[in-house]
Amino acid sequence: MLIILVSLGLGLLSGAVMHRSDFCLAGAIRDVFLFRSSPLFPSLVLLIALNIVFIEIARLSGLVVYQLPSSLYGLPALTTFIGGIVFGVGMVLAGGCVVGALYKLGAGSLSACIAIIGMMSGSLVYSGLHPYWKDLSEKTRMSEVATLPQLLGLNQTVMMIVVVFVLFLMLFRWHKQGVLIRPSFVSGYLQPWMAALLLSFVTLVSFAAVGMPLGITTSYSKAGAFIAQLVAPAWVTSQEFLQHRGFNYYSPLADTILSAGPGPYLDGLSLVQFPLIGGIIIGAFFSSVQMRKFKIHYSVPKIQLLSALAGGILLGMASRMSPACNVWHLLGGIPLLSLQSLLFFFGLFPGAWIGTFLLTRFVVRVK
Amino acid sequence: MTTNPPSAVSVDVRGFVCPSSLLIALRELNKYRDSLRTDDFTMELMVDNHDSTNRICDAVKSMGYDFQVSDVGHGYCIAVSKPKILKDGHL
Repeated sequence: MLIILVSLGLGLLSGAVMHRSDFCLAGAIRDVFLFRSSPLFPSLVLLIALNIVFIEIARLSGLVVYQLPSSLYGLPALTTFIGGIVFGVGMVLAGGCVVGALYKLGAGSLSACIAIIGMMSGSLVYSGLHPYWKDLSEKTRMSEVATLPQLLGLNQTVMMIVVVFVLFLMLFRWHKQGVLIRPSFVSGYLQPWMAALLLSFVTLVSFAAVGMPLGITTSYSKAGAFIAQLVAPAWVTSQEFLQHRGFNYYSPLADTILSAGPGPYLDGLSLVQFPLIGGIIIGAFFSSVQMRKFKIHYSVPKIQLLSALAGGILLGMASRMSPACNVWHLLGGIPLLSLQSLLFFFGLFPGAWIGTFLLTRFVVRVK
Repeated sequence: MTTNPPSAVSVDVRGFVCPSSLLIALRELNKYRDSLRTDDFTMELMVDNHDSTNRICDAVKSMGYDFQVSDVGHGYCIAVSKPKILKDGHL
């Protein structure tokens, strides 16, 4: 029960914070290619740097216990890089990532709703590909260690200090250029650097209390699988991917190891992710109602809705190929210097570049 | 008889998928740049998202136009017009 309440609380806070600051992780990377300058990118770097500092301090003080590789972040494989590319294309076409779509849905976005339906369908599409993808993932394994310090044979804390130092040098430069603080012409806008600070707090509480970083995409598979079971139960039973429960993690609140999987049943992951998802949507909803800006607009060009659907399907597939989403990798994995997460992160850039090309070519003509 | 050019244009990007709202707003600003140099021409951009509003205003400001943001219904209206003091070569 406590797990549900903590997750719901984290979701409500994240939803409201992300809505107020429009902390769109997809936009932060997309705008590097679309506008040649990304107003949110410095705040994303700030969030990653703060997460490294907080999580490492928590680890050294015994508040957070983790050992990689684990179910959270496995061994690096080239398939994660490919997953990152597909995710990058998907997030640009969908107009937001797997979490961004939730807070936009909470604010009344029709396209975000369509993107989420796409994500559920994409997870099921992946289910059919799973046996081949798993095989490919094992064949393209790049190392037998899970993190960058392990790969380089360096002390983890020393490595973290070096990385944080470089990131803070970058942030100091952005601060000098005055790009960390965004100009605002409306009331109720939360500065993204402030959002980064609050979200790093959310990530720390999530690690310390729930036992893992923020993540939601397995629930898209679950939701898709629940629906599929109503329509085609025999197909769901035949899918190896949907029957497998390979995810194990230690839950500090329950003080036990919980196991989970992507199939149509409630387990140790739905206990965390369903309240988190609900919290983000409700948090964003209250935030937009309080700003008196909640409204559903139906007059959206069809090509944009089609783009959201296609992007959603790609996101759903990529989240299982990687095998997690951008929030899981960027907010949780990169701060642990997980090689899987770094591969995913580097895949996002070519993906966002391809996505931007497709968007400006087929969805919105710029000229 | 000559027809007068329109004195106001309204562009509604409410509900559009991000970043289409911003791209379309910038495209329309570019399309009407000649009209925006004349007096008595106003371009109204209807936006529902506060971040897009900030970014459009930031772009409009750097283009040198005057603008005014107001709350309209469940969204924002950005009224863009020729600056009162036009600096040469700024537009």
